[in-house]
Amino acid sequence: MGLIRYLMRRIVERLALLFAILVFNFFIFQVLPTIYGINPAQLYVPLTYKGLPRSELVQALDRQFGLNLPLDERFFIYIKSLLTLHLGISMSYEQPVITLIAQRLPVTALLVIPSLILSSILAIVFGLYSISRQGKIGDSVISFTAIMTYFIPAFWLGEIVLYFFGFYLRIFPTNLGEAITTYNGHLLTGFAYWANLMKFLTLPILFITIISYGVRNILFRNNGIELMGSNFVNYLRARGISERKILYKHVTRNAVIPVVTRVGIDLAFLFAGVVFIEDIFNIPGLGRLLVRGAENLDVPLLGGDFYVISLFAVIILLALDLIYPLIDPRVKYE
Amino acid sequence: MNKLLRDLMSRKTFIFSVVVIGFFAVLAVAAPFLTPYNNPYRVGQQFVAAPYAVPAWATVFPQYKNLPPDVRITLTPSLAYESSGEVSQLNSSTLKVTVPPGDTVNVTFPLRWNWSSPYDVRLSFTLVTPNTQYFQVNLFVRDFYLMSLSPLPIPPEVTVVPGKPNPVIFSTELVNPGNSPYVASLPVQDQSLASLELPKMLLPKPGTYNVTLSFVNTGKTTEMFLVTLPGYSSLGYAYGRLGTDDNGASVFSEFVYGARFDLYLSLVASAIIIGIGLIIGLLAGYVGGFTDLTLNAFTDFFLLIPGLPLLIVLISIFDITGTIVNVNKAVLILLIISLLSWPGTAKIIRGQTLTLRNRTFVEAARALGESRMRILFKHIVPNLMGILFAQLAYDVPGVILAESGLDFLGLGITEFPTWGNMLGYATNNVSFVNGFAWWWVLPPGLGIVFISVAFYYFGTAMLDVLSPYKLRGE
Repeated sequence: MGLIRYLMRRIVERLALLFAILVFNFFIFQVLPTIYGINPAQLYVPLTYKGLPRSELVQALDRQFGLNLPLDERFFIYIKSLLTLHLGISMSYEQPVITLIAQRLPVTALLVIPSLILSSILAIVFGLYSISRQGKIGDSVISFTAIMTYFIPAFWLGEIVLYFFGFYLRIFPTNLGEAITTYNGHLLTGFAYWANLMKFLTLPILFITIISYGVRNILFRNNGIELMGSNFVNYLRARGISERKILYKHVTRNAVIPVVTRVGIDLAFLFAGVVFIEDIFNIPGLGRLLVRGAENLDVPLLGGDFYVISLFAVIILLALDLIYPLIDPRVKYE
Repeated sequence: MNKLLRDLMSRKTFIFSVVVIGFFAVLAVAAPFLTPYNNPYRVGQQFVAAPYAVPAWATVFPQYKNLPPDVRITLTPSLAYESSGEVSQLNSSTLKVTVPPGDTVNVTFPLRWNWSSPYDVRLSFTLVTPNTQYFQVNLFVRDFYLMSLSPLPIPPEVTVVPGKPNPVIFSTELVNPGNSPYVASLPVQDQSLASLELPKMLLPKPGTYNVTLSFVNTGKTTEMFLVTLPGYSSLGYAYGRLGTDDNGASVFSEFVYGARFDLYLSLVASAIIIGIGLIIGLLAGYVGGFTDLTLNAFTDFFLLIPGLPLLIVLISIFDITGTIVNVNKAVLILLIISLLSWPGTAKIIRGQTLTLRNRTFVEAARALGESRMRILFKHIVPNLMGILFAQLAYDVPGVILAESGLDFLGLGITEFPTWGNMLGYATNNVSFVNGFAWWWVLPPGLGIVFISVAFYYFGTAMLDVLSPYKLRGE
């Protein structure tokens, strides 16, 4: 009974969040320009756009997206188009926004999911080391490094890493296009394609791993240390169970719960977090699409990309809520 | 108070944080005294040295050993002329040159050069010419026939007015086939490169080089020239404390003014964040009920919406619409960052208020019949002080990182230096061709890391020391 109540509550909460995001999108992309007296259709055509005559385009967009209707009518049209993923057309790329996003989603996923797995492993391994040597020099060094990496600007260190490993030492390829094509410009196929793609992605993946493991490491360490002093651990000690077994079996099982939550949240925000890395390593992912959209003042692209990133976050958070009782059965009884 | 201070001073991390924050605070406050350039991105404050000049102290490293500093000297003629009748010293800065008809008099100024070639070479002097049409003054450096001054406008000769003082400036940056006989004598394809190549040819390596002024009288009477001692100046490849960027602007000035702006912005933004967080957190935690539910949902919404994309979207949208209302970009960024960063703070304050509300001393106060306002401001807020200070410190790194990120992407401030746009410009110029300008790339990044870590430790120390209920779980 408790489980069902928990799940129902979570689902309702996430749906409310989704609705709030829809309304928020509407406010930013429709209400704000209207307040400032700008026809949103004017914003849909970037200033740099050279093609069809501007006024004709604006009129066509007005008609297609109903942008000249009153706000209350426009609200329903807008919400409906977002929910059905009709995100409009990007004028700077001259493609539908949803196509652009569909192309770039796998690229970002290929970048972030391996680094998420690697950094979680790193966080737990370092965390276990810290817990078993609490207060000693090794623990201090690891904790300090974890805090430090958290504050390192990704865009700064990324550029330095790219320069040294890519340009100076030439260990990794620095250009995606060069990495996955042959010398005469044909796309590689089969195993060679994947091997070269992964070779190109190794550096950014390792880099994301290193700058993102810190939070989880600190979380795991602090939790573990707290648990090591708790009553149930004292009881296990009194039963004569070895420290190793307590640490690896009982404490890890409990301390890993907040780490899993954190991984879920990181996964939810994964497309949001790698904007800089994609920009530096020149990877055509969702984050870079967003930056390009911002640079070209391409409003449909910005709106669509932002919506998809938020939508993804909501879906992952919901999925996390649904599997959470399996990880931490205690939520049923709250 | 004394115990508090002792407790703080016993922490190594706190001392580290105070030293680092103090260092940057001094830099920020003393910026106008430390550097004459208050906005090195302005064109007038660029080219204080050659582009990509290394810091002056870096010349101790072997690969930068011979790089020249900025040089500005007045040349003096070689002593041999003192005795001859044709050249005499009029006063300390002016020479008088008397040239018989049909003759040529050369005045040589030796230039002692101790370094490798500079970025450019500039020579300037004032020449008072005789009031005739029949003369010519030529400028040589070593054997290069750089400039020819004559009253007749025949390129590549440069026109001077007879009988009047003429300011003459030679600069390798300005040479072209129309004003320099040497450049005009080059093959056409080399002429456009002359301004880049000339400094390397004129002053190739350490040594003494002759700058020669040659006065030619083609008339029939003896003529007299007056010439000031030529001033030599050149931009060097070693400059100041932190070298220069791609525009030859002082990186140290950028760094110092960047620190000033970043500290200012992050402290103001943190104060705003604390303000919003305190109001919402207190309301939610203390009033409870429906208010709590609404405010909590509101907070959760802002917490769960992806921050950086939202920041990018908002900046762009406000940029498009804001062009009409003409909002200052820095203020806009300040407001947007503060309005997006408060949820974490609000949640922490709400949680703390909730636990405080149920403590015995608050219950006791309530039982004594104290008003809600009095309980709030006399009992709850003072106990939140530790957390507030800690949050103030914890919020600073977030603001600095967010602002730097925007600047780095080119969506933020571009008109004056901040650490973020320094990094953006610096890393855009990192390439295999011009190498790695470490003196430009490293300082802002290290600045961000150090100040963030320092504020983090400062916040932790504040939290530990000021919270009366020992939140650290001891």
